Amino acid sequence: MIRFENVGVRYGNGPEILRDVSFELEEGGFAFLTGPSGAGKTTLLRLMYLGLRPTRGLIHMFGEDIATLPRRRFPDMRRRIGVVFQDFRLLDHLTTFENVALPLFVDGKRPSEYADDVMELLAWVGLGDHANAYPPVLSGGEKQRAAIARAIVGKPSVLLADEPTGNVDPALARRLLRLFVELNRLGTTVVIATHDHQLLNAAPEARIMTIRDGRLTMTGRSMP
Amino acid sequence: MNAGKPSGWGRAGPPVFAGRNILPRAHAPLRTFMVAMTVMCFLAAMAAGGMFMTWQAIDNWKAGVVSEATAQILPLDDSPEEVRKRVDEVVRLLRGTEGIRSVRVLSMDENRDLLKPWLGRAGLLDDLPIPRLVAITLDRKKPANIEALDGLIRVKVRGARVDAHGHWVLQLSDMARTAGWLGVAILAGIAIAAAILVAWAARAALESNRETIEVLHLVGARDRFIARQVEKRFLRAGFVSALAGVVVAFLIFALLAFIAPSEGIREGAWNMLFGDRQLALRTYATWAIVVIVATMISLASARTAVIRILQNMFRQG
Repeated sequence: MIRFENVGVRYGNGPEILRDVSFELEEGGFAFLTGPSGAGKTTLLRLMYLGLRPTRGLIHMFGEDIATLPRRRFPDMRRRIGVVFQDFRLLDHLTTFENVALPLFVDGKRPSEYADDVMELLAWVGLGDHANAYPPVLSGGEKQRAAIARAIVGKPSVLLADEPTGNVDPALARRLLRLFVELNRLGTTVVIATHDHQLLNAAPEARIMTIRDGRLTMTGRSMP
Repeated sequence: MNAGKPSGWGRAGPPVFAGRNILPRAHAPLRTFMVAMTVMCFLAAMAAGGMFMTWQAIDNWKAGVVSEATAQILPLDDSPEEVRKRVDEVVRLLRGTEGIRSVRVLSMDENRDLLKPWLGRAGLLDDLPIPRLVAITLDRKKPANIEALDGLIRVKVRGARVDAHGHWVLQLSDMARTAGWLGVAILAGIAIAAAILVAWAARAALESNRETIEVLHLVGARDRFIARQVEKRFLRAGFVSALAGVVVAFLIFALLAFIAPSEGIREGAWNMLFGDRQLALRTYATWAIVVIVATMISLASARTAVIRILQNMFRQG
């Protein structure tokens, strides 16, 4: 489903942030991406959600070579990928409901088609009473949950989450992890970038991708 | 904090995707863009209005000059009595010519007054053989043929001729043409400056929306969808600003039409806006074009800027 071959990334003329990164995530896989701060976790996620083009190497997503994929097909590809950003990236001028429904709205669906699903999802992440609230009045944890809801509302094939439990209490973190595991059981490939070792321990079957000094190593049961 | 189901499902609250545009409605760079656009359109409308008023004034002046002619009778070496006879003969011929509304013989004092600016008040004027002048007012609807009249007068009266001020008319035409080109140049200059300024302001406004555009991109919005959202916002902002600029210019000219200290300006502004139907139509049409062009410039600038941002969004690190 996701295959990297000798991928390298450098910003401008700076040093390589990622070096010779090669891995493959099969459909329905579950992986944690970990490593010290600044090691390149966010850069690797950016490559996976098509937010960055690699300096070298090959990336295959859903059987397509990203380097040769025409630009017009990117939106279709991105709709199969849900992303939870570390800084949430909620739009302050839209309500929580609108933020969560955004992927469906840009897909051309009518509010009447998705309203109940979005409300149900908001209720599930504990934001049922905040549907009309704007992000600036939400707490960090609430924003985190809204960002997660937005990432999964379109039932993506791949869910990428950058520190999704960084702003929530341990109880909610476990609940969110259960949500990710549940999504994974339903067939979604999940990649979570995290520092949270408790989270790593809570999902012992997951593969661990560790980035150190720009190089990636993989451990775990289903490592190829 | 608002709570409950979003509106559209029977509960009070903000509308879902209000106005069907998901870019923020008003923010500082967009306001800067709108102010720049308003000022540029105001200047363009003022320049166009000023140009029309100048043309109108020149036309009126030209019409006045064209409807007048002068008969000149040189004293030669005749006695004053002889000269007066020749003047009377010229007046008789002129009065008998069709297409002449009135004829008036200028007194010697009036003649001297006309020459004073060039020859001064010294006794020189008394020593010079000053020609006698006859002011002729032509019928504007059916003016007499000045060339034919000149030929007749020259034949019938010794030392007499008729001048139709052709030299002045020519100069006025040149002036009107120059004023016209100057007006067009000013308008073109303003249009170019507006396009550059608006392009910068549009880019700044879009850069400030980069976060929103990026998020839309990453949740799967197509470039076309994002561009449409941006264009709609700038189309509206550009139109409203351009209209505001033109309306302010209209109000200023309307104010001039009522309270300008100079009667000429009052009359000119009044004719341009309400009095002269053809001129008013031309003015309003030009202002409408200013609004349309400004809106198109906004749209084109926004489209160029958004496409550039979108193309830079998935780049090599």
